[in-house]
Amino acid sequence: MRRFRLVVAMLVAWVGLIEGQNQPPVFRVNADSVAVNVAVKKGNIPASGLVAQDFRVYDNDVLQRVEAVSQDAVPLDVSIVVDLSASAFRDLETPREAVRRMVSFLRPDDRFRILTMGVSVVNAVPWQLAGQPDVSGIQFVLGYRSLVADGVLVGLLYRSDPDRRHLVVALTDGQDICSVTSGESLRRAAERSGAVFHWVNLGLGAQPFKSFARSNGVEVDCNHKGAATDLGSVLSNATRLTGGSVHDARSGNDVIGIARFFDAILDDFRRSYILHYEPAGVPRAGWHRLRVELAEKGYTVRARPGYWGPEAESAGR
Amino acid sequence: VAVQLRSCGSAYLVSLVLLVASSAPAGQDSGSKSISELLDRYQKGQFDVVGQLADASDPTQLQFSFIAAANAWIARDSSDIISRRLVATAFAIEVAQARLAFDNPTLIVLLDWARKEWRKGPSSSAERVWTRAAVALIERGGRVNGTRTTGNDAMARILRSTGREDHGSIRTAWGQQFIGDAADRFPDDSRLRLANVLWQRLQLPYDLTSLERLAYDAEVGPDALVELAMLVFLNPRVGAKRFNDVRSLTDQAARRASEPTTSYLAHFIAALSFEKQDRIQDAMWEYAAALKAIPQAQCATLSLAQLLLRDNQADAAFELVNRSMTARPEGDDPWRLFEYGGYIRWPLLIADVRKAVH
Repeated sequence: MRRFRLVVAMLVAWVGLIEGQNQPPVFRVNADSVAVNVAVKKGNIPASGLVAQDFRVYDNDVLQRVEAVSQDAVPLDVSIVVDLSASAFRDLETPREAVRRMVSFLRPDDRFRILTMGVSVVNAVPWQLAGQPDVSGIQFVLGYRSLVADGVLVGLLYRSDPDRRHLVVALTDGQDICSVTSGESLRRAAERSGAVFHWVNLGLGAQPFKSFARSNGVEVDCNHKGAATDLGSVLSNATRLTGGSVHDARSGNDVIGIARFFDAILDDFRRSYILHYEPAGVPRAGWHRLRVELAEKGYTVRARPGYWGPEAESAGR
Repeated sequence: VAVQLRSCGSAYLVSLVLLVASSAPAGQDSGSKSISELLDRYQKGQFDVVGQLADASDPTQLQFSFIAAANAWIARDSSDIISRRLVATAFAIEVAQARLAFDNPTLIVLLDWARKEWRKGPSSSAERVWTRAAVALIERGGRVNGTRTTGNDAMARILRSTGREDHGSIRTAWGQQFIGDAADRFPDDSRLRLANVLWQRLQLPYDLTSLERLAYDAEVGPDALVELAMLVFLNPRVGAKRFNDVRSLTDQAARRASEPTTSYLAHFIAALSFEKQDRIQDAMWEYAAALKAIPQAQCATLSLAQLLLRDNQADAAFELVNRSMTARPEGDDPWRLFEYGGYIRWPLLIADVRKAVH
């Protein structure tokens, strides 16, 4: 099996696909240190003024020494995944205006990109510095499918530079049509991603993956790959795994409401703490369960529940 | 015009009669002149002029004006009837394609007119080139029906008003007749035979014999093998044995494929079957082979990335996905178009039509 795996890796390299495999995950600032994003609130208000001694971090149930705490120090990379299906937005101008308003909350040194979907996931607005966005790339296309799971996967599988933080925000009702991405894969991607993922839910609740009609009208299930049958719970779980959350907008028509949600997400993200520590007393490789607490009671803490250590030949979780 | 359109349904006929009775003469003259000029320019290779007509807001007016103008334009020079017929019918097919997302009735009306126009003379190579493209367009626009009979009507209105597709019910009889006639008119054309066989593929119980016979064809054999592989893959009644059958078919298809699209699909379907059997390394190999056929194609990229994640090769998965987003191949992923049969080759088919025109 090991030899065969090597052959597959060689084939992948042969088709010219792999470069820079040694880059560390983004939540690590270097090979020996872990950086974890932690949102802390007292009541509904983000807590400020906390220092390293205020936090308790458990890595695989082993208490770690938090060496440093930083806050709001680095610029952001923001991936906005926009579901253009009719069940999410009723026209094209609404998502365009929502994007304009969302981008207006970014700082000049923040970067963003807009991922939409059609026959494929589309880089509608490629990575660029914040500013007045050209939203003309947000378009309907012939053969449109709601590739929500594929879009979120693309959003999560991006690594920012070590001096930036990555935020993924999906505007969707969670109804997927014909993604090739399975729910299990979204979970794995969320566990591996250094991004914090938030879902702005534009619908009244996610529906199962849909079938669609082949050209003579007979319904055929396009889900040949074991895609999630309940994308809503998959997306919710993915937000939890990255330390993000779900925001129920309930409608794609309320541009101001969507912008407010985004503003709150940004504020929450910027005011969150980054805890730095060197894992001690735990094996490096494999899955690390994380638990973050405050020494003082009365705070609510939101952080990713774990992370993967450096890649090894170990089997998946 | 009314006679030509009769087969397209009484609703169109009624609307045309009303249109003719109320407002035809003045508007028709100027419209015909303008369409005639567009046809002249199209004949000279200015293919983008199609957009000037395809954007028309009133489909009934568009159909009526175009057919009237095209008939007059073809008749203007009887010494060159076949090439003029090709120009007008090619223009019609491009208008229909441009309106595919929201106006299937125009596809029916224009293609019906064009087919009858071709039937005025003996079959020709020009007609064959046009027919291949027309049939592919019908395979893509198979949901051709003027009225939606099932589903959520409110949603259908939204889809139409915003230019998005209506995945509503279809009228199979018209498409079946068109494609069947095409295959009869060009009995030696294996592409048209394949389209005719594929049109019936999901009307169970489906007889695979015709498709199996086409698998031996030099031109369409690999495509027939890919279609067979998918039908076997989709048939759970065959049981676990079906995966071996699928891969036997995809192996043959990949070996014989002359077009990257066919090779990509063969490897992709083989990978699907390996995934179903939880043979992850084999599936990864097949996805990588698909990406060799069409580098950065998104479905194989995302599929392979998911397996790399599962195999604890996250770095490779990240790299794979990001590279595909910055260097996407031209055209849509063949897997996304697979359901549309011959339409997957639309860029080649319309290029052939344009080459014949100019």
